[in-house]
Amino acid sequence: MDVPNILLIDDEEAFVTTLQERLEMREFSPRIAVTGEAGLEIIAAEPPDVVVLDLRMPGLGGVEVLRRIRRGWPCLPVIMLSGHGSDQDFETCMNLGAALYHKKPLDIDVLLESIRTVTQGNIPFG
Amino acid sequence: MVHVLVVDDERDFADLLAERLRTRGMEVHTAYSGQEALDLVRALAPEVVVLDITMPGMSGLETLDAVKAEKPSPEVILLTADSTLNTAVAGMKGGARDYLTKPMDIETLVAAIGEAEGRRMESLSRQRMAETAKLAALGELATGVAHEINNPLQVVLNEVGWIEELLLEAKLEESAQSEIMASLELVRSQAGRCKGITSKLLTLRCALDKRGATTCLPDLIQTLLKARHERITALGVRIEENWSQELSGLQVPASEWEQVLANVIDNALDALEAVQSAGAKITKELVLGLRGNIAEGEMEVAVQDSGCGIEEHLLTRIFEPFFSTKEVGKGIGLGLAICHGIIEAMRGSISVRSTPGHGSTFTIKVPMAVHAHNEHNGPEEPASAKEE
Repeated sequence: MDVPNILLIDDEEAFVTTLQERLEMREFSPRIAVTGEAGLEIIAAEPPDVVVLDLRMPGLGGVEVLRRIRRGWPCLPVIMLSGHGSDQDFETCMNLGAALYHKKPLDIDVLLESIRTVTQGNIPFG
Repeated sequence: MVHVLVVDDERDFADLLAERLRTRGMEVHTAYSGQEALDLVRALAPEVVVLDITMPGMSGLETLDAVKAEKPSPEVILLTADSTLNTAVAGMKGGARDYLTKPMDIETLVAAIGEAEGRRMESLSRQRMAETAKLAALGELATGVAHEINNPLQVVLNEVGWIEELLLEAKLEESAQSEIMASLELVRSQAGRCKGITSKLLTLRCALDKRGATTCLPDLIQTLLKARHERITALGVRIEENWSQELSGLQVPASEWEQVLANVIDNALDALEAVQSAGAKITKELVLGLRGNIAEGEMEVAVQDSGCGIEEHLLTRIFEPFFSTKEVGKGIGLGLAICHGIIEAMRGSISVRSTPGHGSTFTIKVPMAVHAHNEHNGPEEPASAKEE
């Protein structure tokens, strides 16, 4: 795949919309969702190549979204973002099959590198 | 062995009393004046002081005041002659644990010393419990604050990056562009400072105090249930207990587990009460299940209730500090956050499964290595990191 199809799920709207524009400048066309529920609907409609998922969101939280993605789309890589970053969160996400786990704040180049890595299948998941 | 300081200006009396207490297995020192007593309390930190009220120089009551001001302060038993009984009463108000009238029976004194020592242990353990709770709450609060700040920081840094990228395309005058870039770099570096602070906050979790008293879980549960007996009876809750033999024999840090289990049990009782007050017509049996066992290097303790349950969207939030589903005034939302902090400090985990309307189960898992360590009260690191 040349340009991976990215889905950003984060309740912080200012963050995802700017991130979307910055990724667009880099020739990506990411889709965004500001709730876990909306994210799952987008995935169901047309699965992306990679999901960037915030851990803590009101309503359906990141862990639950991750669990549901695993159930429905076992091969879809998920990169977790967390402002909390406790060891326990990390373990929970990795046990559930997250491809990578990053603490916020995160540099866009690091994120891009992660997206490249997981979409090229360099990291086992599922 | 109880460590006792006998204080009396009559040297023969003090020495004899000390000797008789030593034959009963106590560690005893003697002082013959108030000042000497105070010096020895500071130097030796005895657990119990047996203090004569009538002494020349620094009087018994003055000595009592000075001794009780020391930290940690020993328990004090006053010795009085009949004529000084009023002074003894004043002494009780001043913090003495007990008073005995001279000449007293040695067995009475031994019993009084034993009781004073018991009270001292109790109050120390209460203090430790309060400290444990404070530390855990602080750790949870710090974690919560770090999280709340990291999210806006992410927005700030992302916007800075975005502005920089837009600037490069905007074809501004070179001097204006470099000024704006310098200013953005300043924003970025200041945000970096904040990031440094939040990552420090995230490490500020309480470390376990390894000196504490230990207990076994079934005993601890009995104490907790006894303290809640009235509420349990009033609600008509049936208690189901199931402890594996291995777990019953295991010594665990008392104040940490008491703090955790007291919180979880109180929440379970709240959930059961909610069922009762919601539908008096529904004849649903109220059950509080408590069980524990040891498997695969971990001890696992579960507290289960047939109460109102927790809605799914709240499940991920209930361990957050200051998050509460209870009515205003009934809880400030720190109980489970504290539990979470304590359990995490023991390198364990606490999790919940719940079905709204049917009840909840809180499961606590702690690696055995932590407890093996506490059992010996030794200074060495937990026996094996492999078991984690």
